[in-house]
Amino acid sequence: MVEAKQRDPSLRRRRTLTASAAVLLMAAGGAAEAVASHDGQWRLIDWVRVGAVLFLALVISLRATTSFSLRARDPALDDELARANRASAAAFGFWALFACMAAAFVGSFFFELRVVEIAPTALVIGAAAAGLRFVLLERQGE
Amino acid sequence: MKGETLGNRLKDVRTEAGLTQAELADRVGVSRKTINTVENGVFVPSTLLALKLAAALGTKVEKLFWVE
Repeated sequence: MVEAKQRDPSLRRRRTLTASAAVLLMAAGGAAEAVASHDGQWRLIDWVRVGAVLFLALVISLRATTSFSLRARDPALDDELARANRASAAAFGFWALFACMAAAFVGSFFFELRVVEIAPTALVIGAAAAGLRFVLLERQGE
Repeated sequence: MKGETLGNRLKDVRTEAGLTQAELADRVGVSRKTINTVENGVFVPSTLLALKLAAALGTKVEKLFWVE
């Protein structure tokens, strides 16, 4: 049985990660369109869109799978359970990325696919999968 | 080995000691969530954490955990 609700220091992290993953997935479509539609002739706005998506994917990956932080955090946010959850999230993100790349490989037999077109989508899927998996695991202790 | 799980009576011992999950968590340096998941059998603690829990509750680790 769970005891009376107390302030959970990981709640903010979970909410931030969930919102970030949602924004990432929504922005990924625009970035993929930007990459595919200009055939190498990228405009400044395309660089910004794709760069922003990749940066957000990197931030989510770091927060969901490592204890990396630019500022000191509550030690309870990096305890044994959090480390186990991060390891599981990293493995989940890896397999999501693996599945995405395998699908792209198979697809390349039927369509002309370039790395520049596949990479942002694959990275977004891997990062979002790891982030959301971490959030779900963290909720188990509620 | 297959199918073995870790049984525990952490909740009973903690309650007998008059501690809340948060208080026990503070004593061993983990989050309340970690204590909750160990009590519910969701998370299997490391040897280090099991020993810390036993020490914090003034008991032996074998009294807290066993293989089922």
